[in-house]
Amino acid sequence: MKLPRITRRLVMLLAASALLLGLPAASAYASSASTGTGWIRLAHLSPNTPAVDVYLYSFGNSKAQTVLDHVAYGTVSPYLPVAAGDYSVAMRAAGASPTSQPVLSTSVTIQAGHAYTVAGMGPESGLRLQVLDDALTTPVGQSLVRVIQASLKQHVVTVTFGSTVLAANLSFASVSSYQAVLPGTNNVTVTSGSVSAHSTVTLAAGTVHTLVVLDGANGLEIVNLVDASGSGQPPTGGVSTGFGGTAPHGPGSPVPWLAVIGAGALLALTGGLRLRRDGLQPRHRFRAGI
Amino acid sequence: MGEQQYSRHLEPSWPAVAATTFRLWLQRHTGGGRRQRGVLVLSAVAAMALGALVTLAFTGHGAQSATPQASDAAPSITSSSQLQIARANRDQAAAWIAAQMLPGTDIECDTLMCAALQAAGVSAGNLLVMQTTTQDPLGVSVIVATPAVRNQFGPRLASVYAPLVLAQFGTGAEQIEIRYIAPDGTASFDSSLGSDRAARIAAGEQLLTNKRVQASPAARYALLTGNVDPRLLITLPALAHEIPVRLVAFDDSSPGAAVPLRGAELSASAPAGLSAMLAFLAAQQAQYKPSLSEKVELANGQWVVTVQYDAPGWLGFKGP
Repeated sequence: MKLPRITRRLVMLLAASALLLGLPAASAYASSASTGTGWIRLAHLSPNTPAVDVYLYSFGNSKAQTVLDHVAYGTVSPYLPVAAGDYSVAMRAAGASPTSQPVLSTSVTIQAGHAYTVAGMGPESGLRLQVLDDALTTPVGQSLVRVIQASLKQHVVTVTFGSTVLAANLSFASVSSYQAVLPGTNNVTVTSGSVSAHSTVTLAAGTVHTLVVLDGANGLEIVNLVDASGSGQPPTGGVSTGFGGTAPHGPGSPVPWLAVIGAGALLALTGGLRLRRDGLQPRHRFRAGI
Repeated sequence: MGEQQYSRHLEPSWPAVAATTFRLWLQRHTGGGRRQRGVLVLSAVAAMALGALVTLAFTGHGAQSATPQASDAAPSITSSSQLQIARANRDQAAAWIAAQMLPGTDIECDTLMCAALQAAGVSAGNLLVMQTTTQDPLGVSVIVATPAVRNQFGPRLASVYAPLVLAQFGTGAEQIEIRYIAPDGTASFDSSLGSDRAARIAAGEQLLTNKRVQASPAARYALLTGNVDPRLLITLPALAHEIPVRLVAFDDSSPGAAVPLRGAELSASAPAGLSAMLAFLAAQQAQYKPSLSEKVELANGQWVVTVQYDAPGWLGFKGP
């Protein structure tokens, strides 16, 4: 069967657009794995520790130094894309002289296509940086949630999402495992003895969340971090606690924008060609028809 | 001379006195025939022989039980030279632990070894004396495997509890091994050995691509074979970011042990670089602070910074 020329062109245009738009989205996770990029974010969850500057030193690339300035309690950075490999993590007191010595705290191995949270945990006297593997995918139709207990005022907390217990008797500076829950909007409740805090949280299917229990100005606070939003790729935006204005923002991927621009250009080109050709023949025919 | 001979004749020997006394006693009390005297003599000889055997037996047993600590340390010791060997091994092991082990490390040992460790300066509060009723060596980080300890735990010491030798002293039956006790047991420890080594190799390979890190062939080999302690691997990228580093050598002071090297000799392009290295290392918190870092002149006249981390060393990047 031979399709009319206009139909063939329309199909070709749609196919080209699909290639430009669809493939990058579908293969974002795979491409990051093959090109050796992972993601990392940093969280300051030590209540009585002053703000710090955090440094990542690549084992293999002396120029690849990532710096996050003035990371204060309750602050979680956006995910930063970094080349896969090993990194030493060091800290300086916020605003310390660049000539002061950075203090090594831990190391992290970034695997391509994986995401990590490096969290400053515990009290100031025992501050440690803990590397958490962040999940990027969920069981079909479900959401994944874990809890970080970063309240020093309430040493042990229990966290529920509706009637689902997400973490029972979670002690200070510890992290629960991810738990699969049914998506929906519900109350998250944190209780510790007679103290409690509530927050309404929406968990969409395919999303991965970390709920952080913090010491707030008036009791406990709950912060909802979205670790991944369904595409297998972590979100690049900041979190509801806000991130320091001096901190670098996640650059985001340029691929969707390039795809849109490319599709638009292809559309314009095809339209132009059609106009050029049809602008002579059909019009002529049309005129002839008249 | 004549007086001496005279005096000998005047004083009979003790055997002569005993024999005469026995003969006279027989004459007084038996007055019997020749056969009866023979029976009595044989009975006496038999009784004396029995007494001698019993005495010997008890004497031997008494000698062993009179030195229970020597028995604890080395049941097979039968000569003074072996005792000396055992003592020398003990002293070397104690000196090594006092110099190399992270202060505060809890150590299990037998009575003699614990005494030697205390004498070497290890805090008594970190020493757990092994009892004969001790079922397992759990609850401490390190055990000093003397012959007595090996006898008590048998092959399970290595196969279940303490798979890693941190250092060993001496050879044969008197050998002393300082062993790391795996908190989750040998099986779990063994399962992570391969991945830990692979991670060290990967880190070493990356470090060798760092333009601010130069390595001698020996240092390069150590990095590529995963033979460097992760604390050094973690420290070097940050240090190199501050000061370009040349890795002269990696070394260790763990005799007889196949563990990642905890020490290094680092050089810089300028003398000021060495001082900057020392300042960087001194500023680190306990986990990454070397137990020793100092400027040293090598035999070839080159000045280097020697760095040494405490034992037990790390195998993986998350800690010991």
